[in-house]
Amino acid sequence: MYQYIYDSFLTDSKYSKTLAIIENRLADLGLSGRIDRLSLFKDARDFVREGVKKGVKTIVIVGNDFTLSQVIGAADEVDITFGVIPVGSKNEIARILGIEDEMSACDCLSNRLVKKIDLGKINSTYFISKIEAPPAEITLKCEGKFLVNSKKIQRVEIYNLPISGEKSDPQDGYLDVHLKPGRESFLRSAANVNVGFLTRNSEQNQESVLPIKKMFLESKNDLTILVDGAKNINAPAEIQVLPERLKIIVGKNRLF
Amino acid sequence: MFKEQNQKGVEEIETIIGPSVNVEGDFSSKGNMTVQGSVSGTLKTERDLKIGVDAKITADVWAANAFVAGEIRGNVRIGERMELTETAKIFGDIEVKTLIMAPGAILNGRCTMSHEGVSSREGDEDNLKKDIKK
Repeated sequence: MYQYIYDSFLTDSKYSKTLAIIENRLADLGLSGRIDRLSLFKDARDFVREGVKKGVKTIVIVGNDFTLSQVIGAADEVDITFGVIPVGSKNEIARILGIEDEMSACDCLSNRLVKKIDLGKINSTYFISKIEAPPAEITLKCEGKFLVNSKKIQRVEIYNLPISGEKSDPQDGYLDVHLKPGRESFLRSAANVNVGFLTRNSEQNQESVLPIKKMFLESKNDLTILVDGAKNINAPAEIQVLPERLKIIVGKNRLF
Repeated sequence: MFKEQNQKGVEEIETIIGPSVNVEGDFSSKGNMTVQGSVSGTLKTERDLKIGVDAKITADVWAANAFVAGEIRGNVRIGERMELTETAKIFGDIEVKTLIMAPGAILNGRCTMSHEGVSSREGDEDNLKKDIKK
């Protein structure tokens, strides 16, 4: 049994034609199901709970990256397969999953190629793509074995999916921690204007990349961590990967 | 040597300890590793290790292959091949199968070389894999 969770922005009339096309296509494929719409007064957790009670086995998230992050974050510890139908802008996660548009998403649901992928967790909040923190002096206590200290101010980006052009495998059981230079030097600023590739090379030379399963992130300063581009959590924070926790329907052209 | 591709055709991510990072403790990795910063404790990888010119390692080191341009203070066990550039400095004992030293490289310690390869001869490779799996 399928449950479709629509984001609240889809109530805008400009999406009504797209939704009608999707619903017709799903009906043709024999994949119709219960439809719920997120709103200010009803969040994803309520819908997931109701769906599970009624025997839903597949939840299809209709919306963008934020919708996906919101629903998956609400569906902890339930044995459900997720699907995605990207609508609107900011659909990078769907692209990584090999789902280009709403029509190919319907075909992917029909083909039902299910992969188990890792899910990230920061304190009690789940994330699927990445978390990031602004430049700061940070310490990572990792897996009870080693400490990573930044000698200079650095940006922290922790990836589960290969998003924003970074390489990360969501099936390897690791989160990829990137520590990047926090402030541009004069040379880099100048290079940025004149020779773009030099900037990238220079930054890459300064960057650290560490595959880590579990870590505790702290900073001497106040530090706010942005989770999946939507939610803020303050440091210190415990961050870990939950290997193969998420069952999700993907396309053949997925990037992992 | 340090650019491998996995089964999916994606370039495998290296562990990179950049120049602005200090690692303390038992650090291990299954993949290739590049160190440009400082490490103290132990440093292990099942694959290739590259120590940059400004890197300072105060640790015992295990790897399959190593390319060293920086400084290591500790004992080093390399399964196959180790290359020291003219800027390399090693203060500790080395066990390796094949050693290549450039003029100017400093090695203050005992060097043991085996035709069979250090790791496999002493069963270190199995122990290393067990350690990394933990």
